[in-house]
Amino acid sequence: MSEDISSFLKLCSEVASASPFFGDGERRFQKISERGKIRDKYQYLPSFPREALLAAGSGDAKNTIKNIKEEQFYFPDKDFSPAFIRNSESDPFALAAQSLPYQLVILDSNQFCLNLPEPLSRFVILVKHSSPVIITLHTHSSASVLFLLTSGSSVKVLADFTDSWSASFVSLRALVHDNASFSLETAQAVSGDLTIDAMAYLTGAGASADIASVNATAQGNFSAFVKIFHLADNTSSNQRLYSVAGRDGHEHFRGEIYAAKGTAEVKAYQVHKSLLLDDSANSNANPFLEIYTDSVECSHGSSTGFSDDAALYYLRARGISAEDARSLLIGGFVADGFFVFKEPDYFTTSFLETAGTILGQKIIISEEP
Amino acid sequence: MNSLLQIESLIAGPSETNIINELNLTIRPGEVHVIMGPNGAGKSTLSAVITGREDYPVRGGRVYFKGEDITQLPMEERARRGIFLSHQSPLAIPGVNNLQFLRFAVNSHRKAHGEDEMKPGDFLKKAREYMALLGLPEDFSRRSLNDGFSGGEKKRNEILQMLMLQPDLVILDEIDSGLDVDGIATISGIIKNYHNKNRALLLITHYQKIFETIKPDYVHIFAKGKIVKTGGAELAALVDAGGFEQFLGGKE
Repeated sequence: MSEDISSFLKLCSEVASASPFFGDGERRFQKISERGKIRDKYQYLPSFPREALLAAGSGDAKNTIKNIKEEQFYFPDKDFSPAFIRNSESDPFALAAQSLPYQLVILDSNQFCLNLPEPLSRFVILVKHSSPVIITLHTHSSASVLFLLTSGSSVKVLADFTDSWSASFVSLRALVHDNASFSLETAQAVSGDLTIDAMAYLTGAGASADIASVNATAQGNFSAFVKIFHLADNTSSNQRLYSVAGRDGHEHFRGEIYAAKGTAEVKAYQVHKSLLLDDSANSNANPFLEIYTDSVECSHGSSTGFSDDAALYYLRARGISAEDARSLLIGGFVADGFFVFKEPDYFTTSFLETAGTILGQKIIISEEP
Repeated sequence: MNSLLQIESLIAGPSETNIINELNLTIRPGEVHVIMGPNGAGKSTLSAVITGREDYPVRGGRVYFKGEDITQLPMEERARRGIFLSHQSPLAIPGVNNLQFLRFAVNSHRKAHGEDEMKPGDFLKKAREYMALLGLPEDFSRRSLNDGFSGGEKKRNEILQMLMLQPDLVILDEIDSGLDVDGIATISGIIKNYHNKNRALLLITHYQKIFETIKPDYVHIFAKGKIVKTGGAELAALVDAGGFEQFLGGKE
């Protein structure tokens, strides 16, 4: 898997320098990160898990912090300080080029399983392969992964963080060059705190990013921060995030679409839906659009609601028990979330089982008989 | 003959509002009843109360079905005993597969009657047979419940459910809305064939078109939460000619 670092940096440089975005993007991102309560709460950078743990603020998180010594964090370079990470966050090229302690994986095969080691992992994955690459991603802890997609490459990331520790923070970044496509499908049922912070930078013409997520949350916070930067012509993106929360589960969603000035033929869509199973659960959704071009087709929508009484009545009026009707309705919501997944079978069985356990609620997905 | 449905002095409605006010109605097996009335008279509320929606609580009176008091019975239990409502505006439920839901419903009925679950192959065969009868496309089995259905497809889907569940009392709440002329002819023909001496129909409608196929035994004019006039099919013709005002005794 190793390859000469200098040739890697050269490739990174080619990808990054092809886009004039980065100087402007840095200011933009910092400005965004300073407004909005949720972003304020998480405004430090995800690559540094100790701060993530602190911010999560739950009792579990504090206990976890006590048990983790600073030496356990991976600081291979003395200059690799949190302040540096902050600066590099808004500049993926800097992140890639200067973070040598990141482990580098250059992919030229089309299947790759990335089991991120504990307690902290940083990876840079360079995708060169022209046929679609499937990467399965697991971690028990906080992790940071940067995907660099060269021209014409295609990567599909299947990520399941069900087994993550409480207060895990997963940072995923994708730099997507000309005609490359990035897809992230992620599903997890988590009790405790988990944050997934995913951003895709569409730096080349014809680049695309699809992010789809289905989550179940109980007794903790699930946060999904998603941002797609459209920085070139003819780029497209879809964000579709579904979440079920119950039993003191709290969901936080911040989804952003950024279309840079001067870009043309941008298509960007965002859907967020959250289903609350009881009064102890809540959802905090912040969908954002930042559009600086007229040549754009864009939509965003977010809905949050308790399970639908009218739907419950409809099913019960056909003789289905209240309990089964509820299971079917939650299953219907989940199935609707999985609808856009290209690899739903990878997730559904374990998701339904774990989600059913943490939510204390059987979930039935009704497939075609 | 014993009644199938008997409603005595019923007082009910959502929140604190008694939309249904001292209503009496008896329906015997084999009969066809029609309820007509101005908008807001409480016709759909009546169907919600008969099917047992908890958000339309009964505050007075009793409801009997096949001789048993069902006033406090949960709605799924009423359905299993043979009460079926074809909704005026069937709800779309994305993610819940149309036929799998129906199979679930059929098996809930069978379980309640001590029968084994229907084999998937038998269920599909029967469902497809009825779908063909109703002119429903093959892809109906793949779609979510009423999701993206046209108005006519939704109504046909209600009747598909009726055919699969074989209820004794069928309440049709504006079955003719959302259907074109051919659709009304098809659906009303199927309902007519379904109706027999052991089954009763309760039609809630604004229009007489459906009476060309399904002949009513009784037409009730419904206003202010109760029946203000009962007659035969000629009553519907009077409504068509002179509106509801003639039965209401002047404005409130």
